[in-house]
Amino acid sequence: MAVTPAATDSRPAGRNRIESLRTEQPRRARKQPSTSKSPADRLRKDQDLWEDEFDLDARAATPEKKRSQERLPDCRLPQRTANRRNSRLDKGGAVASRSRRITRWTFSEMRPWQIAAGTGGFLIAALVIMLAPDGSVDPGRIGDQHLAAAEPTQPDLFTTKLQPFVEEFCQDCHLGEEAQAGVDFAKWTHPDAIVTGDRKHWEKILAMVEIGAMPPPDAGQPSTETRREIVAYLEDKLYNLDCDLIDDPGRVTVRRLNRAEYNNTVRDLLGVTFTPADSFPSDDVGYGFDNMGDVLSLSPLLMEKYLDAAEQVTEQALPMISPESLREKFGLNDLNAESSRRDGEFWSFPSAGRATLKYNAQFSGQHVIRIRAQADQAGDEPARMQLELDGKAVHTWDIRGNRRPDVYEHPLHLTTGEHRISARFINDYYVKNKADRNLYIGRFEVQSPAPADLVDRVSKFVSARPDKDTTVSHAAEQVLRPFIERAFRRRATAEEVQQFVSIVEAIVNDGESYDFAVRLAVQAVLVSPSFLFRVEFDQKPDDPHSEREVSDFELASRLSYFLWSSMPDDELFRLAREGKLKEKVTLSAQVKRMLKDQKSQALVDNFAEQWLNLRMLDEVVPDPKLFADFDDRLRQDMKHETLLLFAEVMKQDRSVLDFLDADFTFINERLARHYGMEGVRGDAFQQVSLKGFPRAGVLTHASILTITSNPDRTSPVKRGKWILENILGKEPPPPPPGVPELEETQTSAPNASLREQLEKHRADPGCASCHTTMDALGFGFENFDAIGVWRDKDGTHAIDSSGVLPSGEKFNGPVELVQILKARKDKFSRALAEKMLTYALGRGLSYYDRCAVDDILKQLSQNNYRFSEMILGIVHSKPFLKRRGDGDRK
Amino acid sequence: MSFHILKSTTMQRRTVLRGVGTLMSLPLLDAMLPENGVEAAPAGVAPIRLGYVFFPNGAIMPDWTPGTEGSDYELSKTLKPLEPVKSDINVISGLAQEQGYAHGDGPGDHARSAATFLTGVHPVKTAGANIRVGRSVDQVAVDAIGKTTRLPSLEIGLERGRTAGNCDSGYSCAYSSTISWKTPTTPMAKEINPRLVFNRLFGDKEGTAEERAKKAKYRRSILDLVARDAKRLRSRLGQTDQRKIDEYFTSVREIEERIEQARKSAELETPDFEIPNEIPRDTTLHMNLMYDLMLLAYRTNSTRVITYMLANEGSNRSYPMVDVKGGHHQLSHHRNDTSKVADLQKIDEYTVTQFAGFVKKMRETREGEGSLLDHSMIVLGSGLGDGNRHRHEDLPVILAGRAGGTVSTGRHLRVPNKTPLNNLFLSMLHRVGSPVDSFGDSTGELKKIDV
Repeated sequence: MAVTPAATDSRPAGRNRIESLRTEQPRRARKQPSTSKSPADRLRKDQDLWEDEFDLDARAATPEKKRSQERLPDCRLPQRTANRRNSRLDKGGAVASRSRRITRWTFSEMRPWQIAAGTGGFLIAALVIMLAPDGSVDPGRIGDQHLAAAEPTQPDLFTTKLQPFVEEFCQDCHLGEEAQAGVDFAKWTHPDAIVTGDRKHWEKILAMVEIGAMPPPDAGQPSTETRREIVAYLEDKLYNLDCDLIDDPGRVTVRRLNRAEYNNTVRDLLGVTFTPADSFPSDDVGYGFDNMGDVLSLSPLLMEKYLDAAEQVTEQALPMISPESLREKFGLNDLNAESSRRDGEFWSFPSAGRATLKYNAQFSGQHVIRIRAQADQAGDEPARMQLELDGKAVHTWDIRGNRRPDVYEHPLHLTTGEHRISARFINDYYVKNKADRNLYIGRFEVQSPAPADLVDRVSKFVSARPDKDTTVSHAAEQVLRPFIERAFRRRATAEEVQQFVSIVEAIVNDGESYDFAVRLAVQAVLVSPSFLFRVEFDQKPDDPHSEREVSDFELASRLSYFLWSSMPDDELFRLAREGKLKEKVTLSAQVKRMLKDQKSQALVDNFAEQWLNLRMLDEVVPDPKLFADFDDRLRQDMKHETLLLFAEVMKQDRSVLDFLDADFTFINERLARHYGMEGVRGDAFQQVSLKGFPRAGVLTHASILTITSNPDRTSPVKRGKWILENILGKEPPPPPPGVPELEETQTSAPNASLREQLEKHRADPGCASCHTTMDALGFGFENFDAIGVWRDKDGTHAIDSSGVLPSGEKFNGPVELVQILKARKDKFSRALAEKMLTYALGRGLSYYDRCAVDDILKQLSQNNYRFSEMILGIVHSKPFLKRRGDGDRK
Repeated sequence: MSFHILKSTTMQRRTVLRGVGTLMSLPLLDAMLPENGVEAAPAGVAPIRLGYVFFPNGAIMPDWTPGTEGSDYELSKTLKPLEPVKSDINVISGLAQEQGYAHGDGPGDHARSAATFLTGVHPVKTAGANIRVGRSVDQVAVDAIGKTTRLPSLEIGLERGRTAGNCDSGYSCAYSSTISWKTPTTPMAKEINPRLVFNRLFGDKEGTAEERAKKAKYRRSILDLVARDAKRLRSRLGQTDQRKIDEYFTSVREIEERIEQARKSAELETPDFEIPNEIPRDTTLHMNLMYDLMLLAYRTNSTRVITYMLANEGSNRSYPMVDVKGGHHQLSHHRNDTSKVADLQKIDEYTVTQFAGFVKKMRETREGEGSLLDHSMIVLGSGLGDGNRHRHEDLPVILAGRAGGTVSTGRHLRVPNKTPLNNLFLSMLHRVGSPVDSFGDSTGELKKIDV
């Protein structure tokens, strides 16, 4: 919400305000113990009563209870507690239960219009608050009152407004040890509880009251005016922060590299071209993203995978080259063995058959093939193994000895490309119970001419070797220090380097070669915690008040993992070493450079995919009977369209609002057919104009329309919810417990159109509170079916994609609705900024981050909403540049 | 105590059938049985194995639950495939995981049903940092019997964990794609690639024995180094960070112990077992490969505790092999539509059929005086009963095996409604020597299974 003028213009006043609240409240309570004792105090008294005397009726008999008994809501308690409640009511609450029944009966008999006009009025009011077109409720009036209230002589709104509200509408279900959903108002006796103490609860309370989900529909309802006041008060309390006072950069937990980051990091660190992390277990997701430090866990299984990956990466990046050639080993699993079975280290061939290696020669020229083999000898000739290249025999070996493993070697001339290299058993001999000649074929090794650049890379890496002037330790340190520092993405201490040098020494002393030992040290680096985790060290790690700027190296990593999902490159490292990265101009220049770099595709693949929930596309299963067209190809094409739009906005530095209403998109022939558009041929995607078509922005992309549908039909509710969450940044609260399922409506009116069914469903006030908005938004896109194809009819029902939002704005069809949503650009860009900041920081946002988001949005709106301004705003924000010690600030 | 397939010529090389198709048939396992009279374990001391096989979305209970009780009962329509092993199993009706209900947390029953399945603890509703449920029964069992085997436990499944935001109404995906929890906050990731499960059990067996020994030795020194490094690092971090490094440290230690365990015991002969390098696309093949690996793991005493998720909770997989085209989860909200109910019953029956095949193989695997199954307790079950209405009670539960003669089988046991499933788990824990007095929301042992 917007900061009130009073708060921004006169900061000292704001400071006074908060301080005075902190100090005055208890004093006032002390002064007037008898007349203005807070309701919560009274409640606690009540609780004591319960505990002391176990007299439940004593509570029901207090004056404030009598009032609420007249409209006692059904709290929908779990069975156990409900029983206890009822036993309480049976004595003093006969009237209450009768009136409750009447209330319910009245609701179920009402027609929708009656609800809108009558009881439902509060809902509409609530939704007007939520969907105010300027993106914010004007807290001015309340704010003024609030400021006035802050004067020590005036009563505070907490006491005068909130507590009576709670008393009247909430505490029947939310009090004491039986409090529903853990929301216990007895705990909160002071305004500070809202801001810092149990903030999470209060944010939920605000959302529930704002959207009209609480109090539950069959309970007494506050007037529209009261609801608005309470909402404004809570918003003010929760979000109208004085950024000078609440000055908290937050703290991110150490982040384990996730799968994408691991793949990219080993690529940039060692130049490997495969992606070892693909076989790692899935990363846990939190706050919508899979790069959250708190959420990423490390199981023994993953550790095992790290060990294997380190080995594979080292083998590919630093093959043992001796001295001018390159050897690749292929184990039994790499061989395709026909008519054979596995026997220890061999495939065994009892009669005939062959083991074949599919070998992809990267270099043309003279190769050497080596095959490990042995034989059971029998008969009058030795077992023979024939070497075949691409099906043609090129050589035959006599196998030496009986059951004696040996290596058989032969030169092969290979051209680049795939070849089949086989070893075949060609002279079986078998006399039942007497003689049996068998061949055993083991692993293959192919020695290829090493390409100059690989030799170069390896010798550059192993830049020092022990000789008469250089000790092993000295050489190892020269090789390992620069590598460790790149792998750890910071300077390494002498002690840290020494432990890896020591392992080289130990292995060499053990009789192994220096080259082998160095590679093991590299593996050790790749599984060490400083590589796998992004660690930022603090002087006082457990002091929440100890705050600092991140170091240049830490900043380099924060930047590179944000924009590239990978480690910093040489330029970032150089600037970090020189201590220049934090200079504002340099930092901005680096951001622009990084966004232009190809590696920024990572932001598309990792941020955009998750922000827009596109990964859900992999899991949707449209009903094949209804959508025969849908296949994996189309699934990928859909996703690709949306990612291309994101990439375009990023690369061309367009306005982020283009996500909402771009009048162009990217399609190939398949998608063009899907959309009913002409003139696009082939699988390649091309940019096309949408002018004259009823589509604009991501909300009309087949991808989003599909993931927000059910398998067999559209879901206006899901679409509306998706828009609320991702476009307007307003997560609807979960339905209150006990709301009837949609199917109950459906069975009662099986022939109604979907719109009619949902309207009927909304007739239940428990559903109406949330659905009024969600459904209106969702119905605007009804012209698109469950996989995003345009339609004018749903079965026999003509599509009506017009609607009126609770704010009164009318629209007819998706494009008009998109324009209405675009007018809420503040809400949209806030939602986007919050998601992107979450992704950039690797932690969930907290209330104090709101100040940073406000600044980012200011910069964005002043610069035509250009994409790079959002990134720059994040990178220059306090939480990105600073951190503090662990723990809660009190 | 350890026992292994001895390096010997118990298998006739020429008799072994090859090809993935034959893999699921029985000769494989028969062929593995020692033929020279050497039993895998001395009679009478065979250790008890635990297995938990999970399926999602509940079941069509009217077709699942047998009509009569006791030992003279008739298998229901869905359980018919268990006929050949009827005398070795118990069908248990009436169990519940009541912590799966909302208890004020609103929707998210699928996530809760998987999270509670082996824990009986109400999970914290979060899509973010503070995931927390409880230790799962398999991991508690590991305390008692995990140290004697090369792998303390094995977690396998058929579907990779989801990565699309929160998985169910605000619950982290960890809840719906994990049933095994090492600690209340550390889910045990599962392996879905049969080849990698095999390698975990028996090593990848590349190179010579000497080379492998060398590799293990140096792997130990690497682990030793990074463990020390982690310790040093830890001391410089804040408390939340320390918890993350602790996870790292624990994982390193576990692998170190495993290598040590492998070094101490005689090298296992790699069983003759053909596994594709890629994950099979065919679900039946994939499922049975994993069952075979389970059996192999028990058989070789590589581990005694296995959890197996046939699918993630809320899985929307389709089952074309039994002619069901719709997604499982989607169907599970059948609203009593007869064709959907029929489709779901087919899925249930398919699940039971595959499980029956596995149980049969367990029974056909000789061990000591009896069969491997005699020394096991394998649970097949779901965290939901009626999936349509998200009921966390009247759960479908099968218990296979006699646990060394301490479970009397061949019965349909009906327990009082809402008896905690954890009571069964407590009974299982006691049978493997776990000293715990209670587990999760257990109220006592499930005496009905006793002899």
